Amino acid sequence: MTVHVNWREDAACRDADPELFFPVGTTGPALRQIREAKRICRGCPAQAPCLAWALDHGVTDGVWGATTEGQRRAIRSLARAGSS
Amino acid sequence: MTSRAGPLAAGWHEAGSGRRSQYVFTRDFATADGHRVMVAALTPRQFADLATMARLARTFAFLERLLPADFSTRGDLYTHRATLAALLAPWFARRTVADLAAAFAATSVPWTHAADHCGWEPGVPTRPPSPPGGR
Repeated sequence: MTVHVNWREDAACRDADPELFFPVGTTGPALRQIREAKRICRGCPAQAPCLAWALDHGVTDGVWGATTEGQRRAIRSLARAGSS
Repeated sequence: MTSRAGPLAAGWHEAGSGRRSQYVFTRDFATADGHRVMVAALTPRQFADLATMARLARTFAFLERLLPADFSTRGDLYTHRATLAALLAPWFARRTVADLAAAFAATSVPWTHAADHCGWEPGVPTRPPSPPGGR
């Protein structure tokens, strides 16, 4: 399955601080970064294709389509467990 | 051609030509034996059947809570179609066309062996594919 990449042109994060989307850690300032990154994602017209792209390519780092690395890992893990 | 099959067949041709389909969830998937199958979920019930068949109902429910989204609505199903397809693709990739024929037989989900898509039978929601490599 291939997700096309032209959604990037519409992505709201193009005008945001990239550091927000790649927080270091999962506590304190990182949690605030994640909240802010997700806020931007949820108003983004490219949220859905962005998440699809991250899942399709197994992207591990960062906030993509309003999901964290841990949340995407949980999605993939559930999918593997259910559909194997 | 019946009124029900007419739009279905038109959607099939649209998908084949690369134009955006008018349907909520229409995708082709690679299979384990090197073929492709085309799947169309035109109603919430069909999508629920597809999720159950692929044993992804729990995964999709988790995703609905996370996004949030409601895949029983046409709007959310269409918006998140690429994400849902990305999660369905591995399931299809592990199965042969014959496996899929058996699985789809118990569902309401329209599908076809992609090589046969121009031969969609009007009014028939599921159609057995040609044997892989056969005539």
